[in-house]
Amino acid sequence: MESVLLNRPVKRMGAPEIFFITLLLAVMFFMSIPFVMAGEIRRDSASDAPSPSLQSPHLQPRQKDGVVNGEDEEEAAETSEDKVFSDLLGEEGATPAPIEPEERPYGIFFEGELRSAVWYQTHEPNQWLTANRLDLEAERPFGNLMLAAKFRMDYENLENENHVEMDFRELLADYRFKPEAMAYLDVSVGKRMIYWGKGDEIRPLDRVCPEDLTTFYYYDKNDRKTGIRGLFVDAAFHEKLRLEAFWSPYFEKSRIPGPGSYFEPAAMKTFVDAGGVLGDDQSNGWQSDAALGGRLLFSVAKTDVGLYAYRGIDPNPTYGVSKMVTAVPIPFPPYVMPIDPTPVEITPFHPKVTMLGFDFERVLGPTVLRGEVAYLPQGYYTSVKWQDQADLLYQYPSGLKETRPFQYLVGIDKNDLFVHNLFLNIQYVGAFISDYDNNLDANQFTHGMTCTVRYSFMDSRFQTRWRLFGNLTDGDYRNLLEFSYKPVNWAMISVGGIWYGGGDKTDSFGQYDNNDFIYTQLKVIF
Amino acid sequence: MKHFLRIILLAIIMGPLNGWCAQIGPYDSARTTEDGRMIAEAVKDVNRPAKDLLIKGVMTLKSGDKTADVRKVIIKQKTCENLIRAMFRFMDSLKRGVTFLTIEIDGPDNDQYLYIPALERPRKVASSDRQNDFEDTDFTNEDLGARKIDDYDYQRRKDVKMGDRLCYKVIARSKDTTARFPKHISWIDQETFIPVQVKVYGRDNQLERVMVAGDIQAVGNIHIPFKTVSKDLKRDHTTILKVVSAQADTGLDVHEFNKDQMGETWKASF
Repeated sequence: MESVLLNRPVKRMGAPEIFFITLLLAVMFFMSIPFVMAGEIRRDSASDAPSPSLQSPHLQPRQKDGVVNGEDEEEAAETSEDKVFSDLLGEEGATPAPIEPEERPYGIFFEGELRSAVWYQTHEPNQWLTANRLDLEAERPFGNLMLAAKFRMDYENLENENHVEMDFRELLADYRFKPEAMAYLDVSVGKRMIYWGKGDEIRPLDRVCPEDLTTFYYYDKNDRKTGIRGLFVDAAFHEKLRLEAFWSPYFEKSRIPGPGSYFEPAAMKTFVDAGGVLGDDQSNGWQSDAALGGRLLFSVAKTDVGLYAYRGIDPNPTYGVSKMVTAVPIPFPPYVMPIDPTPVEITPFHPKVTMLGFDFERVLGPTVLRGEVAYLPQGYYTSVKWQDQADLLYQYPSGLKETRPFQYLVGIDKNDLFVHNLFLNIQYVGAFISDYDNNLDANQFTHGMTCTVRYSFMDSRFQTRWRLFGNLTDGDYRNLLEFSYKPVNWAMISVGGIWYGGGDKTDSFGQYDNNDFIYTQLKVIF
Repeated sequence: MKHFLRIILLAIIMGPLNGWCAQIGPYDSARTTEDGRMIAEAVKDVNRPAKDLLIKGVMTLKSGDKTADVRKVIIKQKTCENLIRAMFRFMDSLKRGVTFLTIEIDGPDNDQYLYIPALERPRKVASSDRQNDFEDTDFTNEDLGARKIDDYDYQRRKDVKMGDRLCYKVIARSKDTTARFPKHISWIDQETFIPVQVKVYGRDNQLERVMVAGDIQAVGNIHIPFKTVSKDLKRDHTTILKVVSAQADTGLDVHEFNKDQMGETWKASF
């Protein structure tokens, strides 16, 4: 007989073959009996299960009605574990229509944020002030090329007059190369912000970018920055080894509170009120060696480490004596009377600073340990005690001496401390002047701390924040306490207060003892 | 006789096509530990994308019956030399830009980082925080990729039918005596190896949390649930993750899954 399908003759089976096939089928039949019977029991369980109503209408586990006779304890426990919560899948969630990237206008990624705040000074003269900030961000990719911009507009009246400031914080073109020997190589040209260091708010290493300090520390450090102009390179040789470097041929200074400003430094005010002259600050401008720096980032033994080097013009000013008098005229011979050197003009200047440093971050038990150290071997100036010893001005005519300090910080973070969503950050900050001498109007060791506690609840609809900056050496401090409410997921209303105290009028925070204020802020994102 | 042997061989080969099923086999009380671990490994491996996975979804947070927040999320996953890297980012609301990165390593603890846009740098997440909730959700950091097979002991229990799906049932007990959730019971669909239900127990052995997965769909060669619901029974708080779109093996760049790139704008958006 021929098989049409196999196209070959079919051999008839003999007795041995029939026996083995029959045996195989029998074994398969008997082995399947337990599984079939188990399936019947489970089907019976499912069909007999009642659906009891529970406290939550969204929680309707189906369960066996009591324990089947004959089940032992373990099986009974297992059966109760098998309660099914599949009704949870009936929970309704939102499903917006998806928007494809091609529908972005001109393919540009765009977002913005508006913050508007009103301040009330709690001391005389009880001023009402306003600080408003609009941030816009846009990016447009063209293959491996990215064009990016961050624009900011500020409106405030902290300087006794309405003031509008506009700035491109970033404006750059970035191209990603993918050479064979490296993970990637990014080259950017334009204006770009640099974020160095691992500290929160206080970062000894993060001194490259100019900042807007007219509102002092009301805005966080990253929020105060603007970029530097130049060429930037980011080279990832390996996932755990990266080199960043930049060169900037343009100097831009920080914005500092000036005379008459809400945060005018007390020493500046005293000097000006006494008839002293405040000289003009250096102008922004092109300078081929304005800034050059880089950092090497790598991981070793589960620790993220960075090594830093920087040489550049300090965007923050140092104030030095630029004119002094050593004699005054008298109406009788010898018609000139020598006096102790007395400064009559102070001028801000921007020294060229050299900085070397490192930072690290590592998980340590239930916390994360971070730290950084900056050493400034050149370009850092400290005041001498000319106010107590006027003749020091003969030795140091600017009233300053170049010193070599170490500045350091170590901190820990803890999420969910005691309760969910309670975040704690504590940092110790310090400075040590390695070439200290007794002529300096400073301590060899300076100690301080920062503490931040944040708590949010009801799905972050409510948030509270407390932040303390404390100078342990001088005893002055800055406290911030804020409460926020999120009425919709694109807006937040905050009320808070910032108060200063301790120390004296020459200290960083103590000088603003009368500048405590409460505020309310509205933040909207789009 | 040759023809007869060919038939026998064909009958043997015509068993389950899924290699894992063939290895795991039916429930055997003498192999509960080995099978339990094997099932856990299968859950981890079977639905691992060959190259990468891109998921766009919407997350709804509910407190009781009230919707507290709705956020768009994008989840990216990359397989690098059999190890997984995963990134999770909120795309809108006041949490926009918050990004979570998990890098699986050959070692006791995976590396995890959290990027918050205001900080402009990634922060390490302590491994002891792995069972803490991620932001305001009812998913833990461990659920987002920090779970290590070796962190748990496993016991297989008898197979259970969940609806129309036959499931493996596995109890996982944490080796960490201080774990917030020391016991998990999972019901794993035998066909797709997706855990369709997970019960999470607290230190007092009380049921604290339930996760259920539904609308399981094939995406390329793997399966993913297009709806996942996690409910905290104590707080009566629910997180619903609905997948809007999922694409496998689209060619995601491995360098995106780097802690120093966490702040970069993503091309994917919706």
